[in-house]
Amino acid sequence: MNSLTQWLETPTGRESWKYSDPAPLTGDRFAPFAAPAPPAGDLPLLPACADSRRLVFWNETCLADETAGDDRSSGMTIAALTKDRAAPGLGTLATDESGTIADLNNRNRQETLHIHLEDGAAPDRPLELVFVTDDRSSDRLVAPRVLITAGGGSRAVIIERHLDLGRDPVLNVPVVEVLCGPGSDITHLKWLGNGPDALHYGGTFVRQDEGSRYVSREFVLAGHRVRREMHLHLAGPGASCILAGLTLASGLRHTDVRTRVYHDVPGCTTDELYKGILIDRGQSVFDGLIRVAPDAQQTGAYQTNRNLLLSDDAVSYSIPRLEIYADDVKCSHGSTTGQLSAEEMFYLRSRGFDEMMARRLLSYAFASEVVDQVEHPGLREELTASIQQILDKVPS
Amino acid sequence: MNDEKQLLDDLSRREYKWGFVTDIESETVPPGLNEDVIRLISARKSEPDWMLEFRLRAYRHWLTLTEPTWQKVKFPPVDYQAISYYSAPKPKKKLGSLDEVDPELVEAYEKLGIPLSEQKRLAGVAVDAVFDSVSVATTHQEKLAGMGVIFMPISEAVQKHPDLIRQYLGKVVPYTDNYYAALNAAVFTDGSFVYVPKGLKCPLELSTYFRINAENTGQFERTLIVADEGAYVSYLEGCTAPMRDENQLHAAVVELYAHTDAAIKYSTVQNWYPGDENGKGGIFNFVTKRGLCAGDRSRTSWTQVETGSAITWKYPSCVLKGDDSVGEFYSVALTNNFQQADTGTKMIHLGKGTRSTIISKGISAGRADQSYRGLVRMGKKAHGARNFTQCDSMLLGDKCGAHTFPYIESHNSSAQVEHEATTTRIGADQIFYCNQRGIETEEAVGMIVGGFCREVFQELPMEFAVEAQKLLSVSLEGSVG
Repeated sequence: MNSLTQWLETPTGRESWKYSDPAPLTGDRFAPFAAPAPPAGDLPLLPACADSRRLVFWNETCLADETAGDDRSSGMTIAALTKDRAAPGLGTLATDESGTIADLNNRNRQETLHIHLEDGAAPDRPLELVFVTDDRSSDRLVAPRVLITAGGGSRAVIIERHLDLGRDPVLNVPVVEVLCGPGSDITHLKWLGNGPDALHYGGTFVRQDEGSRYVSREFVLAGHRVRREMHLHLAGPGASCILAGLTLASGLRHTDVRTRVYHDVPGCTTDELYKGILIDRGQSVFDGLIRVAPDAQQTGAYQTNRNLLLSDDAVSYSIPRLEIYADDVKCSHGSTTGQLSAEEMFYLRSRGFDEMMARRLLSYAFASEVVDQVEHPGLREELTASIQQILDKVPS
Repeated sequence: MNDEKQLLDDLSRREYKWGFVTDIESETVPPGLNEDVIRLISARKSEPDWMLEFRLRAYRHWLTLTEPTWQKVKFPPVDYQAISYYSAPKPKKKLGSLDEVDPELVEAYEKLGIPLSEQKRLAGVAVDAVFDSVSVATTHQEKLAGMGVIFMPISEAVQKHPDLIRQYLGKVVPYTDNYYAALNAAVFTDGSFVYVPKGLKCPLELSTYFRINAENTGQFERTLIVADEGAYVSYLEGCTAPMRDENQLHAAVVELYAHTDAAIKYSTVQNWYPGDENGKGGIFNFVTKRGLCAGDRSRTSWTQVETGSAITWKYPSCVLKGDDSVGEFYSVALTNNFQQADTGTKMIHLGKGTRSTIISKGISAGRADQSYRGLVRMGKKAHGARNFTQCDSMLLGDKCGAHTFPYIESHNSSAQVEHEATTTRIGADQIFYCNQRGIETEEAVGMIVGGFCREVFQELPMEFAVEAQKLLSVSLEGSVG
């Protein structure tokens, strides 16, 4: 019995996995690569990318820096670190104690991609990291690791994408650590378009210094079993974070989004909005915690979770939690679960939409609250198309 | 600011007015728990064999369980062998009528504001007074019996209405339910039994007043309320205990069973001794309360005002099995000094068109820690079910904590669940507004807190609403957020 299995037996471990199955993480079906696997054969074809700098990873190895070059002077440096090379900050947030996912990644990662932004750096293009697996990764455990260190006053948009193109399951355990320096402004977009059989258990660990802003927009659109964890520490006064997410679960898919936001110091704000659309026998879990430490006064924290059930067999679990130890705070959360409003349906039906059209339109409108906030126009269009494609298959 | 600090200090030093000990001769079994003790309790109550069997089965099951540890409260381990499981005031002779109740007991209840003589203030309320392990007096019994309402100590009901007890006892909270429910089933000593026959709207409020008096005892009462088809009953529960340095355990079980079209309203004003300002002593209030809406269109409603206990840890719940049945939970919990509360409710929607409402108001002061923990589950067949939950917390002072842990599970797409929660303190602007209009700060706080809790207080029956308001104003005397 390993330490993970033991931890899962503790009350904390059981509570942490109350609604999801940790079995893929504890079993021995998925083996890590023994060494950084060099690319063999051709790369899968990816959709063209208009205006971002794109790095493609096959499993954990960076294959191509497709559009590098002209922003070397922008203050951003990218380096691949081998397992034995340390970088300042690496592993300080995703420690072995910080939960199952970090622990697994720490034990199995091969290389770490280190993205460093110098003080005041502001690359004019987003940086896109595309993690691809294919048939050659079948039954493998893939543990990509990214460390982002943002210097004081730097700004950047990072896009993290996961694609599983193979037919057989792969176990993805990616971990991203983000250290936001004072006054930095980081936008982090995450798009999970994993294959239908993929298992994805990923974590993002963030620490924010004074006056920094971190924006996370997360889209979980595919994958058989998905768990996304966000651990965020607001460690400097005046820091703010915006966390938004959209989950679409259809078929037999199970998605689990877990956020842990720690207000460690006064004067920080959190704004959280997570939405879920459940189709067929899809299941979703949202478990969000905002903890306000003693003396973290003048905290503003808002958390919203909305779930739309489009089928009778869909299931949603929502656990919005607040843990508050300071009195001069404004904190609230809200959670709703239900189906499309009969009145809205009637409104559209009375204007000539058939039932199916009306349902799709309203479902898309539900999703668009999160999608419309994506600042990057090219990506927004791509996301819109993907979501529409899924919603178009919804039976009426 | 200094004024505020002063006022907060005053608040932490507020006194517990019900902390006296009544010097009354009791018969108390020595501490310890084993099958012999259970046989002794059963024998003392001249129980039939099936009752003893029920207790022993529960005890044997309890031995296989371990204490739960998931709750967000901290307390030293309870030594279950150091508790005396039976303590009863020694009867001077067999009671013929209420007038013959031991005058010291009557006096004790007078002091608590619960008159046992019929003509007094609570004329419209029938009272069952439970002192330590036994029921000492039940008022208005004849009048109720005339209407077919059974309202008596559960130990008496075991003798007089064994069929009803066998039919309903443990049906809503089986002894396998949890650690404390198993313990209670094994050792419960008294409590109230209520049966309201078909179609009757019980015209009296029924009430039980629990009092822990003896030292080193635990109180394990069991209340069972059954409302037959179309019946209605409103039931009130109150409780106090003397001030002692040791913690005392109170592990009660309350079961409500509502048949078709029946309604049960259960109100609690819980004021067990909360411990002193350093967190020493006080009652551990670990209670299992659950209502079953078995029939269609039935209704169970919980209203609770929790101001006492060192630790309050309970989740009065509703199982909405009948179609179109309704569950309600209204709660005000006030914690001060080192008090801890982990309380909330569970609404299990099984039937079609079931509805539930949860309104929970938490006020935390001093170094107290309070959590709302709730579950709303929409079952697969709960078509068109609805739930609305609101839990608001108010923090008075910067050393206390307020937490919200709702679990929302929906297995039906036509069910609608809404949950919202807020946490705030009393704003300086609100106090300023009142001061400006000539209202003293202290009174302003009372008004604001009163307003904060109003939605719950208005659910309480008249006598209790007054008591609750009084209790809250005493508890909050001089507090400013």
